[in-house]
Amino acid sequence: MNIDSKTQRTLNKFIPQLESMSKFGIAFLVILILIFFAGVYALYVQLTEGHIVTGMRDQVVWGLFIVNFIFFIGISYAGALISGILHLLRVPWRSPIIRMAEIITVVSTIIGPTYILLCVGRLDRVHHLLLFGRIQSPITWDVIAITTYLSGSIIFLYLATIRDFALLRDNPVKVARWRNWFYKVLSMGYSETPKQKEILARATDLLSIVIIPLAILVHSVLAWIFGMTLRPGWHSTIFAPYFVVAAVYSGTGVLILAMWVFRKVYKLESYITKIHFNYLGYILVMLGALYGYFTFSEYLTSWYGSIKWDMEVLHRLFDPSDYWWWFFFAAFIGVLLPIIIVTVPRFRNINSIAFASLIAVFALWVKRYLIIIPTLEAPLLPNHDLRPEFIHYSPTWVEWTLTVSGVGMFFLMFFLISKFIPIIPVMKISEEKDYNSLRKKVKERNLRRLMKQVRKSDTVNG
Amino acid sequence: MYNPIIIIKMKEIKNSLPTFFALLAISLLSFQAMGQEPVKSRNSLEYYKISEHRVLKATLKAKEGRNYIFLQDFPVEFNIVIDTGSVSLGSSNTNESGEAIFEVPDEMFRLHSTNGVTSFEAIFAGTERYKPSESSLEVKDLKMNLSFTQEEEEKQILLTATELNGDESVPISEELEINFYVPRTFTLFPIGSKSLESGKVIIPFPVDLPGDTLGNMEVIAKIEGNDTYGNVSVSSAINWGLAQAKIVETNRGLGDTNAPLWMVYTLIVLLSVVWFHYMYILYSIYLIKKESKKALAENM
Amino acid sequence: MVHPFCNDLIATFKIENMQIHKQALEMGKVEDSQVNKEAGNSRRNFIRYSVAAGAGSLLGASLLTGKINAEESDGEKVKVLTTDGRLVEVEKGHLCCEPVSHEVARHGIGNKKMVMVIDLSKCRNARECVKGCQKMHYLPEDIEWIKLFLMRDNEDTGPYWFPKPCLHCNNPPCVKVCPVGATFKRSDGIVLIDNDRCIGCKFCMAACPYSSRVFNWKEPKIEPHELDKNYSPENSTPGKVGTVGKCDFCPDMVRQGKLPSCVTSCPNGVFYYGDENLDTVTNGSETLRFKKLLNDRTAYRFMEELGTEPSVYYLPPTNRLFDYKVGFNDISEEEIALYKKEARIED
Repeated sequence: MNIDSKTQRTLNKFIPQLESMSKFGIAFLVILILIFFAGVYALYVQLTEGHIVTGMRDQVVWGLFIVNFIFFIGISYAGALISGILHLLRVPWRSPIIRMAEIITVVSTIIGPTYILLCVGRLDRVHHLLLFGRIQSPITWDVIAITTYLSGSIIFLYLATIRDFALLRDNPVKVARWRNWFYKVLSMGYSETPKQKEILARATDLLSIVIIPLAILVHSVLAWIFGMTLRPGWHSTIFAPYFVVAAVYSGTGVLILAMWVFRKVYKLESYITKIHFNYLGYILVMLGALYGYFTFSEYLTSWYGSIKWDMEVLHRLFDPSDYWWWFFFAAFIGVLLPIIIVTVPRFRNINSIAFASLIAVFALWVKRYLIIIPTLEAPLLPNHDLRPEFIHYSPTWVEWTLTVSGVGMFFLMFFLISKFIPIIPVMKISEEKDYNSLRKKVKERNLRRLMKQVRKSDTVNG
Repeated sequence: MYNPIIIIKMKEIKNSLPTFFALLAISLLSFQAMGQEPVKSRNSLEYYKISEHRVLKATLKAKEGRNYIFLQDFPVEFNIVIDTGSVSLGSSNTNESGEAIFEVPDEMFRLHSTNGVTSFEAIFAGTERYKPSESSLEVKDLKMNLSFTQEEEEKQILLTATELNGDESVPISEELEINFYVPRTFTLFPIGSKSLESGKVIIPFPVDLPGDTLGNMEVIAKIEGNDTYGNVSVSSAINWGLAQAKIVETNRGLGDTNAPLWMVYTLIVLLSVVWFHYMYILYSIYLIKKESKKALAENM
Repeated sequence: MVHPFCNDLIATFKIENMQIHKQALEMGKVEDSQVNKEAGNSRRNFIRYSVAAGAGSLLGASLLTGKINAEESDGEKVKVLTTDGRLVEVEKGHLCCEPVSHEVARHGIGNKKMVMVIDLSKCRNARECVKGCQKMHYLPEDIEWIKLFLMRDNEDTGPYWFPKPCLHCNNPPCVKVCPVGATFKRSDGIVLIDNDRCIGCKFCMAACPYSSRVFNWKEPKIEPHELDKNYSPENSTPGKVGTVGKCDFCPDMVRQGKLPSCVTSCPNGVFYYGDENLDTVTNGSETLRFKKLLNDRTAYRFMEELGTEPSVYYLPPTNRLFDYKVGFNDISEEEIALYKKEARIED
């Protein structure tokens, strides 16, 4: 494959990322592996002693594990929706960020479902899902949908990486040479012939069309696990779109955070610029507003309806001695703060947008907790159990360890993937003009548009 | 350093400890048992005539401390008492409710009853723990017959009762209370009770009660705890009950094993659309590979 | 005198009933055509059962349960006189029954539709039903399949004790969501759990609006020799770690024609149990017409508005036999405080 000098330059910039690891990187890796083994130990304890070691009991049957499950499936939206939609709309600035988005999707779609497995009382019987699967159960829908979604996301990531595999095949790395064999196999003999280019472009277009409705379906199905039950706070018709919006919101947040981290760590300032943060920040604001709208609509209707059991949940959420401060954070701070940071020009910069995203992501994790736990703590019947742990849920060290371990796994997998393929699509980025000129162009276009409007209003007034 | 011999000895003692304690416990217990006075046992005999089966039931119990307990797994002898002594019928063990059930053979009954009257006795021989006890009763044989009649629109149950007088059977003259029942899942449902009038009683048939899926219903008539006749019951069945609607098991639905068809179809359509695209994309990747070979060939 | 026609009828009825029962054991459902086909069955069976038949209904023969097949029994037999004066013969050693297989347990018993009526006016929180149930199912003390609630609909109305087994809904939310069909609804109205199939996802517990389901958070401590029966979804015993348990309406007892432990252990006769298709329910001491009882006492189903269509009916707590405070007699101060808090009772 013949490449021009610009591509070569770009590649040379990314080769160190693939070939070497800083001391900091090694320390990070060791810590992540330690965290992973802490999780393995917690899992061992849970498997040998039964679920009694968790904080879950007969009323609160689902705890942190399910919260994490929804959270990770939520952030997987980054790749599917963001990169899918940006690709279809041919948004010019998408190139440097889509690979990150797609990696987030694949990694979190692998980690999310493992939490469902942790929540299952009999791991030795998981194959019963295949032997006796019932199509009527939303769990079956989930199993089918997530498997399909994960397969699609992996293919999507692969399609977008073929060109870079070909590039790396022709420019082998100098350490861990076994990797070159993978590059060779995975590149599928791609050599940028017009025919190959055309096939690849068509396949990518097709998949990004398929993956968008699929992603929406996956999170709707997830919402229906709760929506299909007769529980206050769950049995709601808007639950599916609510979950979808919340998921894209958190997915965008995680994408911005990943951009911020990799920009710093791999020195990508010239590729990931303020423009990316600004544009993704606008998307974040839009989604945050939507999420706020759904939240408001959800609680307002149940408050007006004031059915006894709905009120029971609302009381818990608004009681300062119960969940109020968490709810305040998840439903108010988590929406308003990102909106203020991004919309007020004075507050808007790369670091503040990353901070806003961090708030949004954390708020969304808390929101998932507030969706699951207070509802389960408010059964339809009175709960006069003498054992406090049967009334109030508090996660145990096993659950916390496995939660941290899952987040650690997320970083670990992301880290390892970033050592295997460039975190930014090198081929694609080299085709494009540099961003300063792009920015100029956008500014010029906006100016022209503005002039046009001024002229128009002049003619109207005149 | 330990002396090995001592260790072995310790081991021996350890091993023998449980045996020692067991022996001690057994000797204490047997000592206690020997030292105690045998407890009085109680024996009560009841007679059941169920259709043509004559059944004796002896209930054994004893006072242990404050409460009566039923004696389980003890043999009870059943005899027929005649002028010259008693004829052994056989024996039966008591069950968990302290009841020994024994069915009187027909020929023994016929041989040893005079004018339909028979004397029975139940003997518990006693054990070291429990004193012997016995009980006896005298019953007169009664024959009941249950039939169904229909007069005009009214469905009725007809019961006749006869006893032996010399060699011929005559209607019962006594005004015995007859209870009528219909058996249900766990218990008998009472449908009425009425006294015999010159050996005959008629009650209306409970036409509003369900029978089985064919409308079959069984009716039982009983004389309960009578001093002369004991417990006598007879049963008969007729298809005058309301026929139950037959339960049909559904096999497709949200709560059934199989999903509703629309759900199956929706799933198949959705999955095949998505997976068809996946397959097509994988095929495209194959095309890229193929294209590279072609390009290579051209370059050569 | 017996009319010959009637005699014939008795005979056919006996055989039919017997066949129905046998069928129910084997297939879990009744097929009439097959019953008639097999009506001319072996004489041996007939004789064997006729002892019971003479005594009363062949339902008495339901004492023979599960695997005790009439064909195969050559063991020692024991006669049993039932409490209502029927004579039945069972094999020794099978007095406590060999349970039915997992496959048979998935179908209802005969043409039955089991229902329960709970008379709230007679309950005084004696908790004997809870204990009886725990004993029968070898449940540890902290697992209750029947729960007792102190209910109070609002601050001005009277509190009353409310025993709640699984309501065995006819439109069960738990069954709908089970991903592996481990919990299922049978034609006789009973909702059971197959603990050998359950994967422990707890979705059914989240779906049940009545808090009827409990999880085996740890391995139940039962010594094998304590158990007198093997596991079957019909007896739910012993519970299995990591799976869900709940009140099973005791179908193993129904097969034996015996009442569940909650019914028999209640000192006040609060629980009535029976077959809706035979239109009778009994609490052991009295047997009542089911529909008439519902009508006379304006029975209701708990949270009917949820659309779950429970099989358990409640008789309203009017003219209660006991003051609700009687229920505080045997429980701790701590428990009383909790009950009072939930029922919003102030001292």
